[in-house]
Amino acid sequence: MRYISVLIAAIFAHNIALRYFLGWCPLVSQSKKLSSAWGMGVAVTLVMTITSAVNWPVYNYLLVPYGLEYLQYIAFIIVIASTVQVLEMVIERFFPSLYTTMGVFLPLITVNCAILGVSLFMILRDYTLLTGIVFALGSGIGWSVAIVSLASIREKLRFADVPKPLQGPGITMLIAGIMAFAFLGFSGMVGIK
Amino acid sequence: MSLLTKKPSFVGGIHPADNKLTRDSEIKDIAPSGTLVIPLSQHIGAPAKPVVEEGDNVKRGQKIGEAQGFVSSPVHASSSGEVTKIGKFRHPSGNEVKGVKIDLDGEDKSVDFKEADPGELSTEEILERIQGAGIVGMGGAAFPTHVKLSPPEEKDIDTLVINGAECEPYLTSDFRLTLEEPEKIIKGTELIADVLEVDKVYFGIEDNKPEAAEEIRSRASGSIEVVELPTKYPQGWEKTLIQALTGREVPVDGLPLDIGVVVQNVATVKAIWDGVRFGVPLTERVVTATGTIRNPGNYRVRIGTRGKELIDQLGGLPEGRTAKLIDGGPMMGDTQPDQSTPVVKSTSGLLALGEEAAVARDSSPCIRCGKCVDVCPANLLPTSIYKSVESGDIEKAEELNTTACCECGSCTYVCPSEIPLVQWIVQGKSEIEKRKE
Amino acid sequence: MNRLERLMSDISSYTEDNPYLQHITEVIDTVRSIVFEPGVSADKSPFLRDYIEIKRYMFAVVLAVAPAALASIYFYGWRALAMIVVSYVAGGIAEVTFTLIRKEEITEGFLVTGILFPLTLPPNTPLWMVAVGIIVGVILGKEVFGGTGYNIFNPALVGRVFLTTTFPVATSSEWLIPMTGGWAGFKQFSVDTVTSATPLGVFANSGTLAPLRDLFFGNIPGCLGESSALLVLAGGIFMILARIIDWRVPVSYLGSVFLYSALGTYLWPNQVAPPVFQLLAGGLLFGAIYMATDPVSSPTTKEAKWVYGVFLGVMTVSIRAFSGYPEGVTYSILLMNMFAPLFDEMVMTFRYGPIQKPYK
Repeated sequence: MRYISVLIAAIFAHNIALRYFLGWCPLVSQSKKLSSAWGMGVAVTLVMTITSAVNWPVYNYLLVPYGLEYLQYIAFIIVIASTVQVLEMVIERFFPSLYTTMGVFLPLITVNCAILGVSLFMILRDYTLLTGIVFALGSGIGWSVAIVSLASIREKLRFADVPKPLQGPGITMLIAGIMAFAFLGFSGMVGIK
Repeated sequence: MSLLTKKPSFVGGIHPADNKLTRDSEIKDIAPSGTLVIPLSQHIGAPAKPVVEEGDNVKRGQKIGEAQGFVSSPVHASSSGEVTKIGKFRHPSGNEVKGVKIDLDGEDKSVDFKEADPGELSTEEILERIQGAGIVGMGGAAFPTHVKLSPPEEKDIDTLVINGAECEPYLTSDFRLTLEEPEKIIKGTELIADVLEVDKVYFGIEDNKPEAAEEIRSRASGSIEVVELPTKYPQGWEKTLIQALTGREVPVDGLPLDIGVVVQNVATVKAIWDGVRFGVPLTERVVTATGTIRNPGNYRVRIGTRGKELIDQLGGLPEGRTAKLIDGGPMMGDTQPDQSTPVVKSTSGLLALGEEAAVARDSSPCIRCGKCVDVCPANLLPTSIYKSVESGDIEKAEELNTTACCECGSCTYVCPSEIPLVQWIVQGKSEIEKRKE
Repeated sequence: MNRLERLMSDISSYTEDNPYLQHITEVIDTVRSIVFEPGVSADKSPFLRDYIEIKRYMFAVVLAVAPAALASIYFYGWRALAMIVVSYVAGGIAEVTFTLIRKEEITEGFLVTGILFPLTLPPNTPLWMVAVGIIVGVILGKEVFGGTGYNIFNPALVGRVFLTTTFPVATSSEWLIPMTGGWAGFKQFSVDTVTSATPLGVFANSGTLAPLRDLFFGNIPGCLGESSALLVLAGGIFMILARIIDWRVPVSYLGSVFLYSALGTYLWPNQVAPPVFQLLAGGLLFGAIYMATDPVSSPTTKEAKWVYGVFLGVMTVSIRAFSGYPEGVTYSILLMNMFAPLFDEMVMTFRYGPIQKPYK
């Protein structure tokens, strides 16, 4: 039951993009077309889940016993970067069609703050491994929801007369900002702990 | 689907005011006078080739244009006189086509017509007589009828639909024809039902014409099912008509014969009977002269009569400004720049409109109210097509099935922002055509 | 509405001949020409046009909401009118500025936003806050997206949610008890400040339900437009009959609220209020009829509208029941505005996608 509430909370009430404002680089840049948004969303979810699953034992079995908690940032980044590399190579080799659709996005998210953020939250909130994975999965899905709806809105606005200075990233952030307002409605619905 | 009534119908459509001013006017003959301009291309397919020369004397019913190939139709002189010019003339649709100008001698002599007993003719002979009489679809599309009645072997035709709907406001020519000459229509229907070997014949008519429906129903032997359909525009479009009568949907970019149906307009059917039984070629048709025109009514006019001649015989143009002269109905008719364009085989009406039709309205931005989507009988998204075409995204326009649009104008009718949607969609269609080349 | 027009023309021709009743003919004909212009117009085919056009559309909405607006003055005094005026003036300046910069014509769309926005606010909102809210709503909710016809979110609600988040106390926790009886609010500028919670707030805290009669006729504290459920509904029915708004959105929204809360009140009686109470309390009726139906921000296709309405209902009841807020209409509508393009996209894919193309 707790896993379900963490999952739902991660997607809605504690949406990583719209509540914590993490992962906005790809959110703003990849939301131009609906197809790239889907690809990006899948890539982010995959990476988030896998890296959290790897980071948890790294933290709890490697850093904690030796009192090296302060190294978590460096350790996590190293894990994320190498995981993404390996993942990219595996996908390119074994799932070539998948690679053409979303493989190109993988390197883009290596240093994405959202990926790091999810691992850090997992540690901060003292999750168990399974809860951490569920949380990461939910965060990925929530992020995907944000980017896909943002992309469909931007496609609809393709030919709108947006003021010149705001075209592109400007209007995207405005839209995402109003989306964040809307997501406030979920506050307090489900507990994240 | 009309859930509230049991009458069959289609999704979408609009209810413009009827304006059937000429409903109760009996058909009167208009004597041909002055000159006739008969285009050699009044049909879909190859234009007819002239078989007369300038200076020749012709009689009514004489062939002046030879059909070129199978998908083509011959053209006949509608009255007697001298051929004074073979050149380019304007067709009501706006194109310049080759035509024959005849200065009439006023005697209206005809050639001898060869009668025949359809019961003794074979199918091929019947179709030959139909082509020989120059019969094309008189409901507007002008497709050579003998071609429509010769579907390819693999298409299994089981249903014949006679289109008496006449959904355009103002027009009453089909209605009066059905009311005044139902026997010919029924005989013509039975003839082609035999030719096509169909199992079922429907006669579709709108429920604002109950008298005409009764005329057919009382005379039909039971082989024809007369169905009164809810009065809704565009009930007369063949796809919505078929859907309402049979429940079958014509596929996008497909034809009725793909689902086993052939549709014929009532006037065409009557012309078929005249052509096969009496050997009379297509040289006249009923035209509804209406709107602000003087002496509005339904008139039997010879093919090739120019607008001016008809209007003069009715008493000339009315006082005040005639802003528009339309060949056809107000929804899909073609506007004419002057009174010189002739009546052709597919002209169902001549509509004159006054001042109010010259009002140029500015369009406002689209507010996405969705009304155009609600009324489109082809299930399209006119607002999205308009936006794609306006911004040049022709690929998107093609994805939205722009080619399935029948140009009925319902979307433009309801748009609160007065956006000329149908014009944008037509432009989209031509852009898609261009891209294919 | 066509039937109404025909009725009027029948009456008019009937009274025409009678010398005593001729004046009625004149009156009816004048009204007819204002409301139902003759259908022939425009210089391009088709040469017939429907009588609904933008001006009439917007005026019809303002007309529909006018009784509810008048009711708010009745309950809360002339201050309510002051709020409406401030909203029109401040928002109007913002709208006109942008229209002039864009060199376009001023459209009537603002007339609707201008009156709907203040009706979403509590009666004692400071006037400067109303101005700030409407300006944010018009500029950031509509103009930056391209102006009329391009806004993704309902501009009035963008302004509203901005105020709720920035000034939570003033716009969400101070309420007044409405005046009733006699001339009530028409005699005063504003009501004596008595803070009290709204029916939804009371239910969230203590589980007590306000009497349905009060909810229906308006004797409860709340935002300006929430007061009289009766008048809001009347306006809604008028707009549906006049084909101004699509009936699918309010019907699916309210229907979904009813069904979901019926289930919810059985499963979680402490958190989910019973269906009829849900329907009449808070800004649900107002939001379902005036806000969710905004043609620009709601989906275009019929199927998407149904989905939109159903989700709206689920969200509203969930936010009311399970989140920290007593009222969820604003958030639900903004959330669904966000998903509306996606719903449309999905419907179009189903309609024109692989399923539809096997005939080649």
